[in-house]
Amino acid sequence: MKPAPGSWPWLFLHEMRLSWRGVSGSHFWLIAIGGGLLWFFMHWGAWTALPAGYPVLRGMLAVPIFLGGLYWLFASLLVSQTIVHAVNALIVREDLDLLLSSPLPQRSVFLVRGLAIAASAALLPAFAALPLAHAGLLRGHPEFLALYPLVAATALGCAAAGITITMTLVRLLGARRARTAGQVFAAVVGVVFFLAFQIPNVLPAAKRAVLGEWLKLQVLDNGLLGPGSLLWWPARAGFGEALPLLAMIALGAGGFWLAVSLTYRRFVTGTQETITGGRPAVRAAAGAPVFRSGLTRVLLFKEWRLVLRDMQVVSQTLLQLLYLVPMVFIGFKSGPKNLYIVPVIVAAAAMLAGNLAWITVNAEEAPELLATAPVPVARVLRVKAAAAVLPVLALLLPLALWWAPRSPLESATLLLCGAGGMLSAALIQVWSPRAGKRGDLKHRHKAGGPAGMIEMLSTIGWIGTAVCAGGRWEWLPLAAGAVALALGAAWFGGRRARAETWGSAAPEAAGA
Amino acid sequence: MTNTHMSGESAALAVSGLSKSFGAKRAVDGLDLVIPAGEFHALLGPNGAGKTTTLRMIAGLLRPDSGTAAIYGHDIARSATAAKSVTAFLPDDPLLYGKLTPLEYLEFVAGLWAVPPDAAARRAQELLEWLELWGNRGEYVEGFSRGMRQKLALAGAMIHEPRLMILDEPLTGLDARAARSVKDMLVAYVKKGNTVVLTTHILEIAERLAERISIILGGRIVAQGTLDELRSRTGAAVGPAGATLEDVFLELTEPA
Repeated sequence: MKPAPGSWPWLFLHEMRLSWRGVSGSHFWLIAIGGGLLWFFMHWGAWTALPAGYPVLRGMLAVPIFLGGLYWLFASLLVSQTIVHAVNALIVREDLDLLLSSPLPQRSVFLVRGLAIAASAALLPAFAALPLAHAGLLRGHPEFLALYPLVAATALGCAAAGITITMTLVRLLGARRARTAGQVFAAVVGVVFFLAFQIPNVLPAAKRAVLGEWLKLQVLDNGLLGPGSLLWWPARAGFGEALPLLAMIALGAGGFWLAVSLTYRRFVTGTQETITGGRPAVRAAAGAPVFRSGLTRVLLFKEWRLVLRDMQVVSQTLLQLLYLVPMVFIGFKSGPKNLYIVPVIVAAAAMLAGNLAWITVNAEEAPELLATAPVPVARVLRVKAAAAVLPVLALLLPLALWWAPRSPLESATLLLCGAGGMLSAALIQVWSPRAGKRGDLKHRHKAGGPAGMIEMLSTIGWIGTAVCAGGRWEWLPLAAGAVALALGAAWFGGRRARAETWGSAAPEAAGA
Repeated sequence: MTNTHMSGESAALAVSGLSKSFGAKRAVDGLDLVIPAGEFHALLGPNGAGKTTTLRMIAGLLRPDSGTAAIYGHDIARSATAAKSVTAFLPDDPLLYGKLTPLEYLEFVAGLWAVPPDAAARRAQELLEWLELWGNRGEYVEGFSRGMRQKLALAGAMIHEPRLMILDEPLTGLDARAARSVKDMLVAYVKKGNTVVLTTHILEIAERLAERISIILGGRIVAQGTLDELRSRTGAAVGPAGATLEDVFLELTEPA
């Protein structure tokens, strides 16, 4: 039976349909068949492993730091995901003006959006945990069915957290800025656990030992992280313990209800601000204009301004590098002789330059203006590639110079492979262009066609070259071959893309 | 119909046998058009007639399947830089840089056309004051309304003082006051000896401003001339009391 048009279940189905439209066509069947097979094997694995594995799982519950820690790590990633969903669903989506001008109660619209966020958040934990529930039922452990309400409660709780954080940002910053801030916040939440786990690696040995002792004390019976700690109730709820399960359901459902009740008015006003565009951002400017001369200078400044002023781009670019920070710390501690430091920095430099080149070349906002200007496209593209490479080179150069007297080979390797990786990444974007929007930077490897894979191959080649320079010269032909293959593929494979992207504006010149 | 009373050398724009297909659809079909320097020319046609495709080929944004286009004697394919340096193209939905201010945008456009910095700065101030955007010169373009963006794009098109302006629906989104100033500016610009080619669906604009009008249908020019010449073609009365351009246009573009 179909729900009545205009009711909240009807709107919820509409939301779900829109969510599934994202995986339509051939991808849908690929995901459905692949996912179905995987889920079947997960059931089979759980059913096979449960007789021997159940005592192990109960044992883990006695030392709860693993299961409980895993739960909170996963929950933090889900909150990160729900913030992104909340930003899209509550601020960005273009159908909000239609929905809010309809006779549907605004609270219902908000509630349904919240439920849709929770449903999206439930997908992955349900996929991961429910095979255990089903296998448990068949193996005589019906208490594992508690995973069903636990997954629902977790999804509702994470949705509540995502909505509350997003709406708080709307309240503090306004809808326009909250959109970017939400995306930055989500990325930070996503990496914070990863960085936290790396802390012991960057501590001196003595302090690491002290931290280890302290943690041991805390997981004992009467410690802060002991088996009785409320922190591990989610794990105990998964084993069907009544009180922790009820508490989790109350926390998830109650938190969701509270979040919806407290923030929906902000949703309405924030949405109006988004729809009407809000107040324009004002920047100080006084007196008569002073213009620069020369195409190269003007173009470079334009590209750098656009990157630095776009918080979304800055965050998406720089946060990727956060994952590499702990390794760089290790490298600095052990000096340039460390096997990892040069390859890691080469990887980071190539990634950053690739991102910037994608922004400057593929995410050009006014391609028609450039195409109608009396300037050769090849020159414009050269400057755009330089705009991507120069800032990263400026970061790399001081480090290489600092290393030069201490370790000339590592310094030269860093400079050569770093510059090579950056230049290759930029050239691949120029040679295999595919127009995109700046906001799609995060997904450029997925949406950018073969260029993403080619760029990855090139970066791996340069990382390999850096490793070879550390004394494994026999592998150098393979690493250099990967780079050559990537550049060749970008040049020959990108001929059509160059012609399509740069049109009649001298398409082959674009590759010059 | 083709205007052949002028050689391509002395024309602001000379288009010959221009064709473009998208798959099986022929968008522009052997189009000929000559526009003398110093003329205000309107290119009219129903939706999908091929106006925008024609303008985009002339501006160098699309490569024609066949045919040529020359701007002040410079072939757009062979001497693209020379042709583009005297031309400005304003698309129907101009894309601007959201995170630049109007002054920074104009600085960038002036740099592309190699306008000396001092002259560009002076001209930018004049244009922004005239278009009533000087007060917004320090704001990011992303906060601008549709009309403000259109005015800024127009300022960008004019900062290098082109001899030929190709404008695709230039008055879209402008309020009455801004539309009037743009129209006045275009007339003054043509009086100085420059050339304007404009498309519009608001026929009153073409009727009031254009010296000659071309009507395009199915990728071809089906009629061309002054308003009275077009009236004569349809058998309507000429002169101020004659048929409106709307009547003439509907008659000439009526499906067979």
